[in-house]
Amino acid sequence: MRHPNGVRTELSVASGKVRGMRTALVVALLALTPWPAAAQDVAIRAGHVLTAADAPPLVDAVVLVRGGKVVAVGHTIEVPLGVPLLERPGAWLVPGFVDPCTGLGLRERDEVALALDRDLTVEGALDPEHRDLARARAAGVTTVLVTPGDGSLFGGAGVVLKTTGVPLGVDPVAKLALGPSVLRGDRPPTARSGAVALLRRAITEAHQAREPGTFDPSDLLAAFARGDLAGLFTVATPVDLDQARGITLPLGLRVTYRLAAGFDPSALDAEQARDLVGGAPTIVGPFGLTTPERALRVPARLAAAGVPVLFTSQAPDGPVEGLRLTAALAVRYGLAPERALDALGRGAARALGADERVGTLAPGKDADLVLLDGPPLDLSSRVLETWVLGRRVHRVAAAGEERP
Amino acid sequence: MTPTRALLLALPTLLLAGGLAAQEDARGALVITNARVAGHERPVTIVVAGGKVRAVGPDARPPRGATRLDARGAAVVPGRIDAWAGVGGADALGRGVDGFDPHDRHAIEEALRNGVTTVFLSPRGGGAGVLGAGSVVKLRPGAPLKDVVVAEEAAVVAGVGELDAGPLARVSAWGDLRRAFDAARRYRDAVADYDEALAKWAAEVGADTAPVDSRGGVAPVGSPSRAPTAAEPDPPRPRRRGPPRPEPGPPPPTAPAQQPQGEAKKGERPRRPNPDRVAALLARVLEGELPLRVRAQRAEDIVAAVELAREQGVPSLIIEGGLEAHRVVDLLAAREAKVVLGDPLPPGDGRARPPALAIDLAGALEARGVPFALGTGDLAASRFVELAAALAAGQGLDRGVAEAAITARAAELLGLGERLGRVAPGYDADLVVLSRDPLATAPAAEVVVVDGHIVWRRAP
Repeated sequence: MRHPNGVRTELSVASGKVRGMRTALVVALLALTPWPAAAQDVAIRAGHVLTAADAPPLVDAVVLVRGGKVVAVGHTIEVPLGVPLLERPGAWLVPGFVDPCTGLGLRERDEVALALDRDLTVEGALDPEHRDLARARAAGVTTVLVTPGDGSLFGGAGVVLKTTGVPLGVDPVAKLALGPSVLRGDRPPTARSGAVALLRRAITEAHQAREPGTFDPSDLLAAFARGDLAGLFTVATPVDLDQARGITLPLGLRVTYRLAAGFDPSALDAEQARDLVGGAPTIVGPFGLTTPERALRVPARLAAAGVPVLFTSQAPDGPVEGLRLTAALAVRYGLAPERALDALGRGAARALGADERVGTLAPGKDADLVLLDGPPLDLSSRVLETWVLGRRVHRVAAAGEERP
Repeated sequence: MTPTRALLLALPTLLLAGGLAAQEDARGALVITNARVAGHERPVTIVVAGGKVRAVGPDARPPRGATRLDARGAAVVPGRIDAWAGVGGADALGRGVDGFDPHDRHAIEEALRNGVTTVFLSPRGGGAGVLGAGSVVKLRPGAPLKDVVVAEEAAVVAGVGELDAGPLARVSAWGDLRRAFDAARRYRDAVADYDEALAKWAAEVGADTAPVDSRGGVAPVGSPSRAPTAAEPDPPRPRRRGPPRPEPGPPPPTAPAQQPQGEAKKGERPRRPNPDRVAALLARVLEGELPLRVRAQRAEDIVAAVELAREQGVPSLIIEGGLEAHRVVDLLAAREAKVVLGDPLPPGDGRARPPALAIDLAGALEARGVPFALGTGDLAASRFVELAAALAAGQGLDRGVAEAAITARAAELLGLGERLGRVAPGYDADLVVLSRDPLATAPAAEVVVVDGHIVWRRAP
């Protein structure tokens, strides 16, 4: 969801500084990553190509990739001389999956000594070669938000990362939380009332203090409070959700909610869902085979109330494959398959401010591709290949074929 | 068992013998036409009578008056089996079936809607020690329990504690299990000695006692109440609950009572050993009558379970859970242990050390020839057993093997391989008429038949 006023130009100074900081990090991480920056030019013809959740699948279509970007998608693509054409007649080709809330690649997730970690970013703990990232690639997950945990009211900022370990280079996402997880005996807040008061005061003060040219790049809380950064807000109970909305909505801040495990699903009955969430994208999951039916019905209920519903695997606390399982279970309990697919792609990308880069297959988008041997929401479909920025980063050897 | 089998064998003869008998049989008969069945090239007719599949083939002759069901070319598959459905709580003398509510129509119908017709009810709980006996039941809404229980005691389930139990808790859990088996062995020997002494005494005094058990003096220890001495005036002892506690100092105080009774004074009736039902249950495991299922997720617990089985001489070991089984797959293959996998993607709670999940756990077991079945770990999740199979296929397991792991292979693992899990003559008529591919994500059952009864139909 965009900023309600749609105004971002006046913040160019601030954004420039944030971006400068990011560039340095990207360079540092690129030096560590095993994936060379140069991408392969390639064309892939697949039996089914899903460009976006709401578009019908193209049968026997070609995706042309050059310089790590999608250049063209369609039935009658002219493949330039010298560009290899890979034939995948039995495969479904879909945009790489996006998980909007993970701890992938982090060695440890939480810094909880302070209730408000104004300047903390996850990059300090990020290992771009972490094996959890390889597992994510094998599951077809190509873009993730890596965030701090739920131990602080304001946990700092998360980074949008390709599962090759390279940051996308989009704005960081502020991490907020309300619920029992932020309370500590040895530092405030020690109780819910204190938590709400502390967060409201900090955000409101920073919001009111905004003046052009006074941006402090190390104060991510202020950047969020001014609307420079989008926020991901974990809420443990309906009351927490109510408070979170009460703090952020009047200031017009961009927020995606995540309903923590154990969030009472009965609070989202019928029309209440919209009142409670206020139309902000809402992340649910992960679901497993033992998740109660009431919780499995929440995505359909949110969608019916007009709330964009998104999914997370919470990897590495849960298995990263749980992302697709969560979507498939939501479909079983009433969510339209298009909505579920959208949540795995464009919907999640939009919440991360990355929808101009990932989540769909169209000219100019990152060439993050997943090839499966069946429809993506059929859990028996296996991820055969994963491509990130035009590079193949995962491949299952076909029977009788040697691994490349 | 034998009379039933004889009756079944005789049934076709009876059918031929007289029209009356045929009519009688046709009353409960069901015929499914135009069915696609694995192993048959053309659509076939399935004839069901008396709760069993009688014939499968293009030319199968339906009995007159049978209920007819046109599958319209859809696949008909065996009813799915959840080889691990957790229920209730743990108690050494409890049975899974005690935690099953046959009147919970919603849960049962949700499972049937997804083509699940049989479940192995395993006592739930992450406790340590003997958790109880697992039971096998069919799912038939509204049917009385006695009609749906396939086996009240199908396996003995033991556990070693929670996933994140510390090393000290594990050591003590394995110690408890060892002691329980030691007690079971002592008990078995004491019962055998008693039977021998009793026979000797009977011969001496000329009393008319029941004959010694055919297994060379080993009494049917699994059911002391059914032992030849059921009518003995011994006062019933309070039952022992839970795993036996460590006995203070050698020799164990119970030992004298269980010494061979041959030393008893001449002419005096030998004393029967104190009933110990936990020991009796475990003695059946030692005899190979029941498999031992050890709930173990971590590699170290699986290794310990395999070691325990070897050391105690347990003939049949099943690992229940096995999330890290891929790490010890060679050991499992060498020791001929079997595995029932549960929820393949358990959502982490962020507290326990997450188990090291294999990308293709079932495939790793299959590659090494370790027999396995796929389950869900909880009765409430049994409706998703076919999702467990789909997930395994999605991670690389052959689709046919995945489907077998919730049908024929699951049946074999439960010791019911000659009764369940196949659409073939002589097998229970537990059938699912599908509308789509067997491993699709959407609910795929159109009609579900259990023991020859149509128990679920998709609303038109």
